[in-house]
Amino acid sequence: MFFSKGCFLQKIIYVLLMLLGSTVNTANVYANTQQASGSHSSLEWFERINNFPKQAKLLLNRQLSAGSKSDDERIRIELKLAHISIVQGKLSEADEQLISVVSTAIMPADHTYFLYLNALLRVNQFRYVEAMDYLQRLKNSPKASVIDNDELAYSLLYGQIYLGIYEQDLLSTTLLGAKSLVNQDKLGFCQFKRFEAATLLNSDNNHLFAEVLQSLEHHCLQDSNSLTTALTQRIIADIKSQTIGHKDEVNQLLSQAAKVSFQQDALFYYVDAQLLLIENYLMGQPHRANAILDELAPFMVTNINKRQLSKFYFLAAKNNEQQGELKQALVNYKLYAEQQTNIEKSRRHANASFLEYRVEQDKKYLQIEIDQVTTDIAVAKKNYDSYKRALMIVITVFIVILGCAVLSVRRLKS
Amino acid sequence: MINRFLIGLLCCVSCFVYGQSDANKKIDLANDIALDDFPRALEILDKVEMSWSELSEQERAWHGAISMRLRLIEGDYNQARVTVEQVNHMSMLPNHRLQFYLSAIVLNQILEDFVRAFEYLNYAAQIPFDELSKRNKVRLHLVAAELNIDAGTFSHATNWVKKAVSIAKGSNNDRIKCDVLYTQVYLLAKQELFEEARLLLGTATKVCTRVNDMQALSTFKDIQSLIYRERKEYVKQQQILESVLATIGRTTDSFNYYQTILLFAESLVVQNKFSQAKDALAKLDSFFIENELVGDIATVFRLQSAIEEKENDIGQALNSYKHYIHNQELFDIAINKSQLVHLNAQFASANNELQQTLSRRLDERNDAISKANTMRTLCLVVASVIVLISLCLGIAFYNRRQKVIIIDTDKYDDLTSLLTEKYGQKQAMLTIEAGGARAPLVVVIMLEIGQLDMVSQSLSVAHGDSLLEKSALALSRYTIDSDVLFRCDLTMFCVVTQCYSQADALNYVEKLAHCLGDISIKGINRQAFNFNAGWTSKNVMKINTLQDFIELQQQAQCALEDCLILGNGPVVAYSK
Repeated sequence: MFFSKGCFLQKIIYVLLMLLGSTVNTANVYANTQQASGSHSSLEWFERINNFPKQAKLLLNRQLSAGSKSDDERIRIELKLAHISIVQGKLSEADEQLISVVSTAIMPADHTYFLYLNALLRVNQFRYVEAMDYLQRLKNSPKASVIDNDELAYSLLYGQIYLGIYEQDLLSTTLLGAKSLVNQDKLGFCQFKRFEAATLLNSDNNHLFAEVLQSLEHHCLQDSNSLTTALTQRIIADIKSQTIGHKDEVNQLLSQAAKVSFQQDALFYYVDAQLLLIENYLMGQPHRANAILDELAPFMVTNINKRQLSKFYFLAAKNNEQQGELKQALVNYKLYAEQQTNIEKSRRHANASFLEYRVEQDKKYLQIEIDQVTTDIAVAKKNYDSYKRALMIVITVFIVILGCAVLSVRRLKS
Repeated sequence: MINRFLIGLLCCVSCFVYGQSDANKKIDLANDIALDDFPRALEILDKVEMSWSELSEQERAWHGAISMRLRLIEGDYNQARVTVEQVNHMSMLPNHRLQFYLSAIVLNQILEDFVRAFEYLNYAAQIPFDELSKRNKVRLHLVAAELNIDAGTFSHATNWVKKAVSIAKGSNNDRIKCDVLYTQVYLLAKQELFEEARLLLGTATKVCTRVNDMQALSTFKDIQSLIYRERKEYVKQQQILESVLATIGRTTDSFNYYQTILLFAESLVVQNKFSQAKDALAKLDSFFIENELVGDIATVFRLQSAIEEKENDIGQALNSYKHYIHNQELFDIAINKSQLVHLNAQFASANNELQQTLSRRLDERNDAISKANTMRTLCLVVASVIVLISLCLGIAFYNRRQKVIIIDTDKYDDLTSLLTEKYGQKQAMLTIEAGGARAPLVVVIMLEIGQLDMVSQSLSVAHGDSLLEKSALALSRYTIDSDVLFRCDLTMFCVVTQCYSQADALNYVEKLAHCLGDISIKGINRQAFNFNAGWTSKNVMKINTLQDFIELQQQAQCALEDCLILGNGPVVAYSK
């Protein structure tokens, strides 16, 4: 085969990141910011956006067109819509929606939500440096908009960045930190488990899959028609295809995930699951692969990630090859290679940019630390001088008092 | 890049001549001729090594650095790595050190040990900047830029280049200018900013031609060919690559030679000159396979696939293209891995200076805090000691004061506030001694209040006390400062004065008796009490001790007793 296992793993990371990033992570921040802004339906909205984004979008659009809204309410709805776009994997749409929101007019509680959505979007776009900037700003955002699992959501975003740029040490630390932040909240738990599964898939630690798989199967597959369940099914399919290898079961999981994703208008996840299905069907059931490729072809024009596009060309080329359409296969392989060249270039650029960012951040922190230490030194020196002066004064006063005492004693004696 | 830099370093002659001793001169010579006459350079170094024991530490280190350089030229990288570790680089002269570090960086780049490469860059950065020659300062920045270019951290590389440009500014040295321009062009080409690179290429080519930097000129031509490719001017690309191939020898710089052939073949393929392209590809032999250059192998397969496709051998073209994809993926994996190592190494060494500053400042802070704490402790201890001492002194003073008060209480009579007999005697003695020859006679008068007991018993103790107080007050008013008045016994007073004659003394006593005679106390009949006085006198010269005075007082006492027996007036005085 032309693909080594290591290479394959590198390629699937982006899918894992997309699977992890968009939906569940957003849940808590959304819920929290809503709570901070006084809404009592935050949890309900959170579930709608993450489980049933299509319905949530319809509802929001209806609200938007229903009647006059205050600026705050309108902005909140726009943010929710952007959130839904991220959940559905429509990143360019989400980008436009977030740009259209005038950030200066946002209430502080919603501003945290706005920052988080931006960070989330950048992570999903693999624009890690910008994502880190937003995460940094989130650190300084008002506490009023942060409750319980906000920290977990931020932590997992950091984790996704470190996973994306192969920062294994930072990733391990973040994973441990995130683990300590998981509480009784089922959504947070599932979110963390999916992230854990993604890191395991990346690191090839097959022996650790059993526990994660069990947790995901037992706790995170309740609502069969929700998008979050589809995402869980998708990651379970990844684990199973890498460990157990029951192709039929894997294909069934992927079919279900694709179906629900399509229903929820989450085209990214739909295409993703379908591409995996094609990959599986190409080995034994080429007619099915061919059918899905035809089905997918119209989606390749818009709302498609370039990595998915690359994979589509590759699978199409393989399919052509199997069908004996060598000329078309060559064309598709060329398109695949072209996409891959761009992807690899972008990857290296992202790695280098992130390193530069880290170096600059490190420089900034060091500078701040040096300034702090310099201030400490000045304070310590000042204290030293003050103590010295005080000591001199005490000694002088003592000597004066002693002198007076001696004089008075002498006088007394005389 | 590495090759160009290596050659650049190897060409760098006569710019590090600092040797003063014979051995140093010989090593410098070996350094200078290393590229032109490698065997002789080796021979010179061997000769120097024969007198190893006579070499100083600095000379030995310099010898090691040049040995390493020769290994590098020779291509014996493993031996070069061993030599690098043996060199005591800290003992070298600044410019020698820099040359050694730059060579070590090149070696580690070749060995893809980026961690060590950045480590040596850090060492180089620690050399006092002012001690370096201008060219070496520039080279240091350019090496840092080139390491960043290879890692893909272009903005950092740009910063280093900018610094190098600023150092080189105003320099007339074409060697320095060529180095800077080369790195600038290389950086732009790596970022695929071909139009910007093109703007610099003309000047860069002129400057580097003046210093005859063949390697730089060759690279410029390669970059020019890429610019033509970008503009789809393939004929021009072909021409320029042909000229490069004509100048580069297969043996002198194999890597660049084969790379150029590959570019040349690509240009031919694009122009549909397949037979020529095939010939060009055939020249590649198995150089890329032997050296495991998967990226170039991938390009070869891609070109082959293109040729096969044009020749309508689709099956073979597809096969070649799949080989291209496979090799390209291997290349990407390798390059990504290498980049990550490179980036991590860069991160580990980044901000080293700041970290060192922080470390120093932390030490300073600890020191300052420790000093402040010590001073505070000292201050507290001293203050505590002072408080303790003050307390002790206070207690001692209080105790003493108490004693004084007790003594004072003994000194004065509670009721009349006159001196007690004991202190009165002493005071009288002091007055006599101090008074000297003020008057020749010391007169001691003993006065007793007659019937005082009766007054106290018949009226009240308060009446008696009042009588005593009034009497004391009257006596006090009468006596002058030089007189001494004190109370004796319960009912007696003693007055000590000095007179010129017995007549004066008698006069004094009479007046005293008279002043007492005027005393009247409410509630007491004047007849109920009277005063008796007995007095005596003695020459002042005869009273030398307290005992003398006491004897005199006893005589006055005797006189008083006589008076009590004989007298019966309200105030009676009797002399003895």
